[in-house]
Amino acid sequence: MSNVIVVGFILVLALAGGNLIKLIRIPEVVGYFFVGLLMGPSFSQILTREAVGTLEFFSEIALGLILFSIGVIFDFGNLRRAGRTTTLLTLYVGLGTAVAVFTTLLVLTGSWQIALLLGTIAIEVSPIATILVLREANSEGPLTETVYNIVALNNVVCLVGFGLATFAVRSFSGTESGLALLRVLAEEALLLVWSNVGSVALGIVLGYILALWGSRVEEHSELLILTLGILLITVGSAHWLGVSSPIASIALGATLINLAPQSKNLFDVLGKTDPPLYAIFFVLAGAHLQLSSLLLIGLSGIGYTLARIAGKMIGAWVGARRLGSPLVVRRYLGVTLVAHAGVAVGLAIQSQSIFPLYAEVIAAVILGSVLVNEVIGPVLTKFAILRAGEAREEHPGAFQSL
Amino acid sequence: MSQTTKVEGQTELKRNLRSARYHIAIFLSAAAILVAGGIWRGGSEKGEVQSETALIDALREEVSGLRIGVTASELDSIQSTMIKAAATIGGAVVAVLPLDGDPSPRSINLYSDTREQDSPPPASARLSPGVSGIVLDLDGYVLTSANVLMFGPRVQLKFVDGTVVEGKVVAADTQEFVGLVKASSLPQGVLLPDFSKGVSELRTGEWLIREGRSPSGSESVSLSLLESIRLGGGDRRLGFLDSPAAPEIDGGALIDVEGRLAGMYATPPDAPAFVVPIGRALAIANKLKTVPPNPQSWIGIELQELSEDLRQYFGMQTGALVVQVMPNSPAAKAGLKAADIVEKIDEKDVGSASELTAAINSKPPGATVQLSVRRGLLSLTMDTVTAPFTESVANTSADGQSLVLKIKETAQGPAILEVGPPPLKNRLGLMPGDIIKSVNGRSIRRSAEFIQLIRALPADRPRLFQIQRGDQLFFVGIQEPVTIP
Repeated sequence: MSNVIVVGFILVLALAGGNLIKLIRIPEVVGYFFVGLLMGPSFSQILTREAVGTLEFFSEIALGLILFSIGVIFDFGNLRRAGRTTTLLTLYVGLGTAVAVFTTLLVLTGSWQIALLLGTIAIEVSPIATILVLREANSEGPLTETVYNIVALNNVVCLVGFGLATFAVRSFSGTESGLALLRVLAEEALLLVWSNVGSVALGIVLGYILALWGSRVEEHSELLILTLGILLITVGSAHWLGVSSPIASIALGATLINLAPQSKNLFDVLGKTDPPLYAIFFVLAGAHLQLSSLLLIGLSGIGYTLARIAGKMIGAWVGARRLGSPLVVRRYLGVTLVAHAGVAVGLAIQSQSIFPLYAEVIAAVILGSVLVNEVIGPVLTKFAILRAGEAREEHPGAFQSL
Repeated sequence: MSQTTKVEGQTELKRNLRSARYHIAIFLSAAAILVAGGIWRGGSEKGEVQSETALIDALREEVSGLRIGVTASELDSIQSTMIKAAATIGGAVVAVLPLDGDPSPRSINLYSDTREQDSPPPASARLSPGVSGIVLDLDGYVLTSANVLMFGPRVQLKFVDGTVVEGKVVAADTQEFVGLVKASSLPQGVLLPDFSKGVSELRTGEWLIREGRSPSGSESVSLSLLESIRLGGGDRRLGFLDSPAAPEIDGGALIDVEGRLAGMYATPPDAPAFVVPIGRALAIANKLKTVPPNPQSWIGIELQELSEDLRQYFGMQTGALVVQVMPNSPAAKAGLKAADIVEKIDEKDVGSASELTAAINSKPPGATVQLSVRRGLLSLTMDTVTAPFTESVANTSADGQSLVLKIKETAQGPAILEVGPPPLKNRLGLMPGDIIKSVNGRSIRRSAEFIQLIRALPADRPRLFQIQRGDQLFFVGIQEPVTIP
């Protein structure tokens, strides 16, 4: 089957699946995900492994777009107002997650290395799933705002945490010692700094270009072309440079919003044009995973999933209390941050190449729990914002709004 | 009033300037970080994991790069060694040539010390005007390549002084690719080479002088670098050189810069040429000496070793598979047929095809041999009387028919489209769709090569076709002239 028709089917079936699942008040993205699972190699094989590989391109764009739009929250006004609280809250949530998962897995697997690596991978929250649920529910309020803020910063915390964990495992259980170990560690440290600083620098440089050029572009449609072009260049260059493309995309959005505050409506326009990409993103994410990986999940996987949710809730609760955040944030923040995907799988693959010894356990746990979390994450997020009373679900009919 | 505006304007300008500087600073530092990082890491993530062949190529390049680094003194030493080698060891290097009008190489003693080999040993090899050999001792034993098998049981040896003597092929080990020839006599004053170099003394990166003797009797010398040493099973070590050699160096000597004999050069027909370290070659030669010599008798069967899948198919662990029975041969008279498996000879178990060949060859002509044969579910016992070697060979190609082959080109090589006449087709077991992979050890990729080769071969010389049918590879020996319409 040609890829064109496959993409067509992805879109139509995703919409159908999303609508079906909305009937039982579950977020659309879960429907997309299920459609992917059904279309993918585990079931009907409409989406073959090769097709998934080819269409991966769309996922890249979708992820870049959503992260780019998250960048908005890094405008200086917002940062001055909420920067300190956000940073600390992110750290609390991250630390809570890492500690909870670490202790649980230390007990379950008996290997501190696996526990530490998984503990830091657990910090990751899928920004795209979380944000799309918020968007779908049209939510507004202190919880929504906090979630936006945290999701943006969380990736950085996760990457740094994972980097440090890699360090620790290398230093205490690696095969190298003495000078060789120092060399390896120095190189790792440099790589860690580079993947963070480099991606921010990439976002800034291209953000300047985007802002300068964008201020000379008259038409809205042209601005869209320019933005998409620069965004793709950002993602592509991030891969080439070996830096984090999510962070670079956020940095691009952040740079743009600070240099050209009037670009805020650009983000709104983008939000109206990109849903097809997100549909493809989730269908592909579903097609990627195999139901059989659920069988692999085992006791450690279940422990990981539960400890991760518990850790997020405890971290959020303690942090929000200490920082004097509103009650809704204290109660529901942890629950909104359960969605788990992309970056986690990436880190699992990365640890596979660095620590082949632990790779099997890590991969099984992550692949299994990502499958679970892709489903329960959005459900929990929606549940939380409904309970927090921040959802405003009434949408105008599509043709009405025209 | 106007003054305040002016002052305000100035501060705004200053602020703008400061802010511009500030932006430029941010932009430039970010760009600087990117450039630095890009130089450091750029492209590294996207780079595919290097394939093994790429790594090996890189390594190979590195090693051959060593050639540039020869110092003048090394060069002098190499030059003087080459002269010395040509003068001394050169005396022990002989040309090994086929005797004119020699009978078929078909029934030459094959010897292999690996009994569990999966494929039948290549009974014949590359067609070459001649190979080289190294005189081992004053008894007249000459070390050479296993390619010597293609010349038949008798060869002629040409020495440095132009003397030509006759020799007989003792045996050859087609796994290690070492052959042994015994000269009927040696000319006066042959100098034996220095055999003291141990197998473990071979070093990668070492210069080796290849010395062989061309059929005309002239010296053939070339310089090469020992690129790699590969460990085989047991104490087996193979050396690989950086450059190909002239065909006549096959079986020739490799001399190190100290003038010692380092090894023998072997050129298998379908594998890269390699160096058999001299210590190893001597050990093999000693084994070959104990193999019963000159094939005396013949019953007219062609055999194939049982590969793992054949063993499973027939449900037998040992035995020799009969590929072909020559018409009018003793075996045919006794009732042996293709696809029979010979289990026992004279009540003794047959371990492998080469064992059976050796057993038959060592019988005196006219002896009665009892063969126990498995044919499908039947177990048969038949007696056959061995015939003298040369006579029986002459019999087989007497019927004068020629094999007619129609060939078509395929991606895998020339394939048989039609084969005839029917009696020959049935006897040889060739089928349309069979792909011809090699003829007399020379591998073939295109129909044109095949036709050229068939036309170039003298009509009376037997041909050994390597045939691929599906996943299976096997050999078919053809005595008859081959015509390609």
